[in-house]
Amino acid sequence: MNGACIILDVFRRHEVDTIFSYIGGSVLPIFDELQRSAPDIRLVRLLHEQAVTHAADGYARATGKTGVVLVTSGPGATNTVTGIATAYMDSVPLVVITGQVPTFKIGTDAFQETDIIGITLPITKLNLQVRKPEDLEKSLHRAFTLARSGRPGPVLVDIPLDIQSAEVCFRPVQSAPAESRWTELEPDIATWKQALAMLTDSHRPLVLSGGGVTTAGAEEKVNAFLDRSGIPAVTTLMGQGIRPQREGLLIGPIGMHGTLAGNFALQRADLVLALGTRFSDRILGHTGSFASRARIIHVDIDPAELGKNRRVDLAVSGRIDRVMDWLLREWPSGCDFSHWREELQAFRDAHPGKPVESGFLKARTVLEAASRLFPEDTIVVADVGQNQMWVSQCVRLSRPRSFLTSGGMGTMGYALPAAIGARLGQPGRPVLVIAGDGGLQMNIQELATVSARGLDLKILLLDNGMLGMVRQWQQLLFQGRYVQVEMEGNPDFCRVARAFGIPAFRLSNRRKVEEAMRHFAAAPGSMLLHARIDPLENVLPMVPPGKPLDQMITEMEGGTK
Amino acid sequence: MTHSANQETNIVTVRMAEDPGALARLASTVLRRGYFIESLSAGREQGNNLLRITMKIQGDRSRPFHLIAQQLLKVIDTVEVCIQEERDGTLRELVLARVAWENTTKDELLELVERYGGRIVAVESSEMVVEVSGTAARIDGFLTDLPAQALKETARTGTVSMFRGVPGSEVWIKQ
Repeated sequence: MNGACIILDVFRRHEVDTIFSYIGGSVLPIFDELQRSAPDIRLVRLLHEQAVTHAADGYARATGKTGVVLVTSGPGATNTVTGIATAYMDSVPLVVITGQVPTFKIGTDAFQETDIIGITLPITKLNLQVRKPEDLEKSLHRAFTLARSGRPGPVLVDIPLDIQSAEVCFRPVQSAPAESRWTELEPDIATWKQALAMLTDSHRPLVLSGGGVTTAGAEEKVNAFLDRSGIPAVTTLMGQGIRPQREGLLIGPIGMHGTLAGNFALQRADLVLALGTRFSDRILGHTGSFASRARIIHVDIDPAELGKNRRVDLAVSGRIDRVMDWLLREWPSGCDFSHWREELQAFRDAHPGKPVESGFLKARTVLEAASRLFPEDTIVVADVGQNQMWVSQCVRLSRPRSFLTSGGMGTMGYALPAAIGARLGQPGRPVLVIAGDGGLQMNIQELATVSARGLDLKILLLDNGMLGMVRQWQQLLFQGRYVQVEMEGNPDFCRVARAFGIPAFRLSNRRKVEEAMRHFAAAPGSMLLHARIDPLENVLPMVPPGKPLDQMITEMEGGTK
Repeated sequence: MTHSANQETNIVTVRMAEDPGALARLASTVLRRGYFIESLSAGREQGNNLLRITMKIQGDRSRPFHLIAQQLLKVIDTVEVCIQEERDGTLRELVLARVAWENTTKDELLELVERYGGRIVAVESSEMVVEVSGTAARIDGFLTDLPAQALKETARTGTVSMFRGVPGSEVWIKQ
C-alpha cells in the first residue's frame, strides 16, 4: 500500500466528501489514487490556490464541517497563505495538504520547493511535514482532530512526493487517536454560579454575541436564553446568527460600523455577558471607555482570549453551548428587565434610521431590497469593505451560518470563491454573493468555476468605481485627498460575466430596484446583477478609529470627487 | 534591549515534547504576540523525554503578562508552562570567555577568576578559556572586571531556573 492510499484512508475515516484542489507536480500520486479509487470524493478545482482555500473556508463555514485543501508545492503552497490566514483569524477548521519535493531534495532549493512550514507557522494551529511514511497516518489524523477541537482553525500537512508513493505495510489504527490537549474542560460550576449571580443582580444586562456562538453551534441556545431571561442582545460582525423570538431583544451589531442603538446599549449596560468574542479593535473603539459602566463576563473556549484585549471581571473558559444550557436551566423567575428594554426601545424610537437620499442609486436601497426579496434561508457571502459593512447594517442575517465574511483578516476577494464552497456544501440553500468592484476583481477568474460547475450563485456587484472604504477614510482623515482609490480600469462587468457564460444585467436607476431585485432573486441558475451605485456614498453611522463607541458620526462633510 | 518603565521581564519555563519543530513554534509564538525573548536555553530533562526551555521574556505592562502562558499552551508540543518573577527563582547562566594573557597579567587574571568562582578550562600560549557560572548579574560583573583589551570573545548560555522548593511558589499551568 502506498502513501496516497493511506491519505485516502484517513479522508474516509474523517468523512471527507469534498476536496478543494489545484493539481501540480508534487501531488500527482494523491490525485492518481483519488481518481482510481475514490469516485465518491468530489474534487473541486478552482483557478487559483487562494480561491481554492477560500472555497474550502466557505464550505466549512456554511456546513460546520472541516474544509479540505489539496495543492502542490512551491507557488501552489504559497498561494494558499492568504486563505489560511483568513481562516485562522476567523477560527475556521481547515486541513490544508501541500505537496513537497521528495525528502532527499529538501533543503536543496529544488524546483518548486518552498518552506511552507516556516511560512505558515504563525497562521496555523499546527503545521507539520511528514518525513517518514510511517508517520503519515498519525500526522493526518492529528491534523483532522486538531482542526476541529477546542477553538477550530487551519492545520497544514506538508507531504513530500516520495512519501506519497512510498510502499508501506499499513495497518490502520482502529480509531483516530485522540489528541490529549483540547479535551473537554470540566464544567466550572462555581464560576458559572458567579456569572448567574452577576446577571440576576444587574439592572441593565446585555448579551454580546460573537462569532464563537456560531462556531459552537449555540445560536438556538442563546436565543432560548434571551427569550427566557428577557435580556437584550447586541452582536459583533461575526455574531449575527442569533434571533430571539421576543420582540425588541435583538438590538443590532456594535462597533465601528455598528448601529447607534447597539453602541448605545453597550455604553449604558451595567453588565455585559460576552459570548465567543475576542473584543477586536473594530468592536472596542477606544478601549478604555468600552462599556465603561459595565462589569464584563467573558465566555470563551480559548483561555488565551480571556482578558487579552479587554479586562474582564469574570472569565469563563468553556463551551458556550454548555454554559447556555446551564444558565437556562438555573435561571430564576422574577428577574425583570422591562425598564431597561423600554429605555432601549425609547432610544430606538428617538433615533430612526436616516431615510436614503434621493439622487444616485444607493447601496442601502439595493441591499434593503435584497434583504426583503431573497428567501430567509439565503446564505449571504459578503466581501470586504463598504459592501460588507452595508450588508451588516441592512441585510437580515439572523439565521445560523447565514453570513459568511472575512471578519478578522478583511480579505478582499473572499466572497466569490467562499460562496462557491458554501453552495457546494449547502446545495439546498440560496447563496448570494455581495462584493464591490475592487474585491470582485481580486478573484474574478472564479466566474469560470461558477459556470463550469453550473452553480446557482447570485452575484450582486455593488460598483461605485472606487475602493470605497479607503476613500471614506481619506475623506474623513485626510481631508478628501483621494489617492489610488479610483478604479479607472474597470471593465464592463456584464460583458465579463457573459463571457464566462453567466447571465448579467445592469441596474442604475433607483426606481427600478424592486423590479430588478425580484427578477434577480427568482432567476434560475447563476446571475450577476451589476448595480452602479453612488461613488461617494459612505457607511454611516461610524465610530472614527480610536473613539468611544457612543461618539458615532452620522454625517460626513466634503464628499466631493 | 533596554528596559523602559512600561516593560517587565519574567522567567518563563516550558516543558514540551521533543519535536523538530517545537522550538521554532515556541519562539515564533512569543514574538508574534508582541513579547521579546531576552534569552533562551533548551535541554532535555532527565528521564522523561521532555525538553525544558527557559526563557527570559520581556513584555509590555499594558497587557497581562500571564496570557503568554495561555498562548504557549496552544503550541502543540507544550506540556506545561511556569511563569516566575526573576527574584523568585534560583537562576543561573554560564559563560565561556576567551581571554588573552601575558606573564605580567596572569596573576591578576587568576585572582579575578577565583574571586568569581570560575575555572580555567583551556590554556594556550597567549590565551585561555575561562568558565564562570552564576546569576546574570554576576557574569556581567565578571566580564566588566576583566581588562577590556584581554577579553577576546564570550559565549553565554542564557538563564536556566530552578525553584527553591518553597511550597506554593511553583505554579505550573497545564493544558
